[in-house]
Amino acid sequence: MSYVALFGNPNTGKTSLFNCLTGSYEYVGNWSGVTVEKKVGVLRQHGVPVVDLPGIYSLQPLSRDEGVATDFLLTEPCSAIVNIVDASQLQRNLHLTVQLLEFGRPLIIALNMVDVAEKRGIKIDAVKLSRHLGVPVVPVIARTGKGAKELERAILSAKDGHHSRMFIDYGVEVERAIRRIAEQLPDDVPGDKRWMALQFLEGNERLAAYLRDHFDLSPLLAIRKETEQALGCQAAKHIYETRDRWISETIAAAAIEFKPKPLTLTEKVDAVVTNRYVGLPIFLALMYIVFMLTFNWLGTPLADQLDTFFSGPLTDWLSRLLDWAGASPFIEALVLDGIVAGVGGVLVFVPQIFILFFFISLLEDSGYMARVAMVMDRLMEAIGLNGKAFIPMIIGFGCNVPGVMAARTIEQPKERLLTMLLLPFMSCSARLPVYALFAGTFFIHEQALVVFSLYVLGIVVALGLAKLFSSTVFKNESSLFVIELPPYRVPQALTLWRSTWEKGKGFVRKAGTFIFGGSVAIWLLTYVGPHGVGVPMDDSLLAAIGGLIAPLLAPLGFGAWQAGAALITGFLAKEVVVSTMNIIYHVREANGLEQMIAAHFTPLSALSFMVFVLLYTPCLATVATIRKETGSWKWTLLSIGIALTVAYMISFLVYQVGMMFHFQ
Amino acid sequence: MVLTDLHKGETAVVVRLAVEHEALKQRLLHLGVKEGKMVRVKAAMPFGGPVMVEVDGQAIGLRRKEASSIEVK
Amino acid sequence: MKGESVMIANIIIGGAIFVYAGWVLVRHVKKSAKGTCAACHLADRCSGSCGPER
Repeated sequence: MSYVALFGNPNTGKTSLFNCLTGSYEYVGNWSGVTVEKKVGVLRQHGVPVVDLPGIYSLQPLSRDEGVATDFLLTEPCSAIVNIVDASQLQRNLHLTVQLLEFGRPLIIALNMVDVAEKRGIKIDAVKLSRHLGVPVVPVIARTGKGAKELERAILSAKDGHHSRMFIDYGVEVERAIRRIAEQLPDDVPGDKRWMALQFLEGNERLAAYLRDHFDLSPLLAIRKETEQALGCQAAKHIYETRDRWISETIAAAAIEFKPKPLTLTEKVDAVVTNRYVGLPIFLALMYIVFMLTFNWLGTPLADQLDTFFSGPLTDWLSRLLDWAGASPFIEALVLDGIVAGVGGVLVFVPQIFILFFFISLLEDSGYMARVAMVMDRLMEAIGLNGKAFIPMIIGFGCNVPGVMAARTIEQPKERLLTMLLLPFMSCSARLPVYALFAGTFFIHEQALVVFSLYVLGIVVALGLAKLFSSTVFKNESSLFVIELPPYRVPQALTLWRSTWEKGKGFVRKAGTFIFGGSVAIWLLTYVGPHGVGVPMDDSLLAAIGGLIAPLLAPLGFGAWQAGAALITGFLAKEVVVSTMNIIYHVREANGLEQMIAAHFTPLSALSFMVFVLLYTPCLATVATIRKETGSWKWTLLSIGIALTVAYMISFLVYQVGMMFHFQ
Repeated sequence: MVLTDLHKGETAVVVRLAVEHEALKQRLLHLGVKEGKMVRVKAAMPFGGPVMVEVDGQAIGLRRKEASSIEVK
Repeated sequence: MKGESVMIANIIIGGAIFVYAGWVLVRHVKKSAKGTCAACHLADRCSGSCGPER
């Protein structure tokens, strides 16, 4: 299968364009490094496979996500390359274009952000640019999909056809070195031999590793050394400068600069949010407002209504339906005490989850995300990480799995590893139902504050451990930070809704699938006991299982088998903690659950329980992702071990200190 | 003079990228920070935090330590 | 006659629930253990390899 591949600098709209071309709804955002994996789709109506790749500045990768793009060129066949070029940043975008042209496959340029360029005072003549580069140039506005049809036509006609004859003369020494290297290369290398020779001279590590698998590199290294001696500087520098001059000429021929209007919106917003004194307080205040909206002002009233509906009309209606079908008491109990309690108990929190996702999407789409990374960098530096690590952490509030993946954009291996190990302390949306249930029962008026403190606790624990690790295990490793700050964009309602829905959908789907299954299994465990079926719940299998770890949990304030059982099932997915609690404490009447929980917990033990759920272990999917991304069981098990230990210690502290002060 | 000597809003031309870290130097080149380019300091974070500079209308955040190894005039 | 049809209805409802529950559980555990990001909102369409560094 031969792909049409999308290449371009970070945050130029590759994924937006990919979504237009293939009718997909892939994750988009306004910062560099949203896409960290390759995504495959199909060109509408034509059956041509298209692949979306992480953004790169050059074919020499500096981070994991960038490696994905270079690897693609080296290992996968592509019938055409679509190079998305940010018209407002032509100079640096064309550095990648030149390398892609040298690769020697049919190439189409999608010229994006023409509107931003014009605001910045640059007008580009697509026809002249096309003539200069020798490839089609199609102006597009990726966010709205304008120009996608023309681009599609250009792709179909260029595919598998000729490629550009663009040629840059790199001077006598380099040209000689290119010839000598090309002679040594086998015939079956991907891409043009001239391209390969140039990339090698530039010191592309990824490519060198690829070549090393095929033959001995020492003659090539010798050529590079000779060339660098003759040039009197690094070959990479010489090649970069030659390209840069060529690009300047191209731009001079194809772009007209006129007086720029200042970017008023971005400048004005930045003057406030990146202000020395109020930058950080503003971030914290915004977060607090998000929590108030999610838990106090908007989310909870909606959730309460949903809860009333599930436990009232829905239960009545289902029970009448079951009576009519002549269902046995067993089936009726299974449906009403198992499924409705388990699945419904999680679904009632859909409003809170969607509100939180809406704000995360807003953060992602506006351009504020990169600013947060910069504002946080000083703090992160002090604990041995960098500000960029804060982006995976915020994503982790939605779900830890993409958060762990997002750590790929962090250049330093040590910082990346540390970020992945500590990411599970970010309170993901699956933990939210647990807080909503317990805080809603015991801390009715302080609900938002309690939940906000839990999120902050997760961050504080993660940062504290980062400090511990970077001053012990990872000592003496340098840290670096450089980040692009994109212009702000007013998020479009449709994009915002779509990205909220795409995130929230997973939660709803999970309720209908896994949580449904889990509820049935858990209910069955409460129905069956070691000594027969239909036993009282305290004699059930679930009680026996929960009872095994209950004594261990007693010092934390929740030594009942119910809590133990809920925590064990929560390893599969944290929402199940609430499902299990719902099934165990289920009474078929409104507000029964909260009364039951109030009878089994005190506010203090509820707090300790929430802290434990926040910290205790990443869910199965996160564990598996950490395993894949670190490539090591050692680190993965360490991550679980740390989580369990820290959770136990902090919950213990919370409960015991609270008891000391007679806080119940 | 180095980049961090500039005050907020001041503009200068990059003379030399004396950044030690090779990967970081590459990244700065990719972002268009190179000899002969105009840079403007847009903001500085407190407690010795990163500085925000603008090159070609593109804002970039980088640490003070690295910014101080960029010579300007 | 009525008793029989009621029993059949019970078996059908109960059977459907248990079969579905078992299926989704097995699928979830398999998927998450593979690390194909089952919990993630991109789960269905994510064709990324999610593989470790080569």
